[in-house]
Amino acid sequence: MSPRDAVVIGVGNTYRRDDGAGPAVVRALAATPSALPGHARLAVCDGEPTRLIDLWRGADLAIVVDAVSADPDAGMLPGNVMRWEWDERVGGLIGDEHGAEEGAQGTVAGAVTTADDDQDDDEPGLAPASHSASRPPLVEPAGTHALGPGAAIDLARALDLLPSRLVVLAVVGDDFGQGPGLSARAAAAVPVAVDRIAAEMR
Amino acid sequence: MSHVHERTLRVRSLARVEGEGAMRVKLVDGRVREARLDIYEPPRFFEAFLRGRAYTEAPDITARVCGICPVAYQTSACRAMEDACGVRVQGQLAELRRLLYCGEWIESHALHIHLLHAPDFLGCPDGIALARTHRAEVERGLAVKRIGNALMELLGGRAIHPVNVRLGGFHRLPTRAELRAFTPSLRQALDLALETTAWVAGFAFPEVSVDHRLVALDQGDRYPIDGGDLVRTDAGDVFEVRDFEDRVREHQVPHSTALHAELVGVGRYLTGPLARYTLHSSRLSPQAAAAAREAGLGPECRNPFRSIVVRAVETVYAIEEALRIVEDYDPDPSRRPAVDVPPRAGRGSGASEAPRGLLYHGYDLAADGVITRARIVPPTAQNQAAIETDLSTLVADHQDLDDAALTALCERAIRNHDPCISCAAHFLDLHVERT
Repeated sequence: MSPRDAVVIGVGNTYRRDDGAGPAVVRALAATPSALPGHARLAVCDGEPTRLIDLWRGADLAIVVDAVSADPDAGMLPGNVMRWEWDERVGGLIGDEHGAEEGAQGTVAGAVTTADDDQDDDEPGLAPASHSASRPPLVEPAGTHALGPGAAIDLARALDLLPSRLVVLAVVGDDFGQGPGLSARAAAAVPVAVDRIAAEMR
Repeated sequence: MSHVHERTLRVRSLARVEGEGAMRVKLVDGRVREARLDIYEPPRFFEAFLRGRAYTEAPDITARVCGICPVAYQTSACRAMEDACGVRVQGQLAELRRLLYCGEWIESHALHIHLLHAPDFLGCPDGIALARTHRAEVERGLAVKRIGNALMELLGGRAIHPVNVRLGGFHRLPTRAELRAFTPSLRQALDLALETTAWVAGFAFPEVSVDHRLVALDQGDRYPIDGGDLVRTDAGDVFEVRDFEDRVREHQVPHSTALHAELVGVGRYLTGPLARYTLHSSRLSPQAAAAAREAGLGPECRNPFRSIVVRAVETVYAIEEALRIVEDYDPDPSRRPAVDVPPRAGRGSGASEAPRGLLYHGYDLAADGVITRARIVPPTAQNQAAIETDLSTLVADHQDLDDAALTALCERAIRNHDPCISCAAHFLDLHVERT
């Protein structure tokens, strides 16, 4: 069933190359109205917790699109699109297909989707490997005045302000240097993320 | 054989401050040898890369110095450029600038009070832990902050790095209906801010009084926010903003990528809430002044731990100011959203009161408006020496505390000033050495 109040929030800094993947996905969604139901909201955010919470407050479904650093050992390769969903039972973000350690308090397993395990590493797509960490390795700002999306989830949970469903989609970045524009691999992952969000909305 | 007792306290990465910095305090035989606020955030070279850019670009470029106080950067840049070009923004455009700035004060102060500073008084490691133990208070803070964000979004186009500010005014003016729609939420925010003031007034404050020279802008009969042509000190000295670079000397210290500033002939000084309040409490609105009295503040406040109360009072004031401006706003449809600011060769100076203190900009322009020199003096750089003196005094007075307790007290002493290291390095990690 399509959620009644859904919001897609692109998080990132468009002046730090692939950290702008989240906002790029939101721009692509805005240019593809057919991808989303009419009531879905689109937003871009720097990830500052209180602003992020304000954006997803009361939503049936919130999809946060962010960038993550590559971690080849965990199967997270540039251009992959990773997916996690908040699971209140375990109090963590859980990758929905692989590696979730059911019932493991605080464990976040990463992530993965329907990718073909034989896919070419150079092609964008949905990452096939599982990843284990305390939370997705979202690119968090260094300044503690400006806490990142992970802190937003913790703060929202403490205040009972998490959306009914919280999905985190992350584009694995290749280049987080200075300047606008995505790397070729991250750019190619944008339509993959758009398709994934459209599927989440159905 | 001599026995030297050395003790070192260190925090390698300070929490609940903006940017990257550390603290190091060294005691030798009970004397503080060194108290350093190490700012290791890489230098950001804004002054260098502004050279060669168009004068119209300075507000948007310098807004990028800080995600917490971009309006301060935009406002000081606009004032400096307009000064260089012989233009003065007045009337409703000036009022809208103050309204935008009120949004930034409300947002920044609400964040610092509820998520960054209050945990220090309530035994919580961070704002998230505080949200678990003081949910209603944190929710109240977020509600106030939301109003500040909304004001910035309406007037600035977005809450971070607003895009609607330009030299001479704005790209687009809000309609009267758009501003009037804010009245109910501002009235609610005022009630919430008054509750917050009463809440923080009840915290336990160490008895401390600092003797730093206090420095704030003088904005006439108003509590200084968005400008002022004069700089005033608590010693009664007054000078013009355009003389700021002659009266304030910056110098490099080895442990910081931020320059230290001192008043010529005086030395260290402090800007920010304590300075503003001590110099200008008589200019608060009646309701903010009453809130200050009820919170136990006298006409002056020199206890940095009580800065949380001053910020709460300033939040009340900013909301009242926002209400006043919103209710008085009556735009003339024939008026353009900005006055012309034609370039000319010359020097311009501008300053405003960022939430954490005085922010100065100075520029030299060529005849075609190209920037040939830029000077930005952010509040945290100005406050650095005063913060180090606070550390030194606290450590000397609390040597009976163990290292963990003393380190925690030192971190609090730093957060009292809501330092913005990212601005200053245009800085935190604590090292305490005891010998």
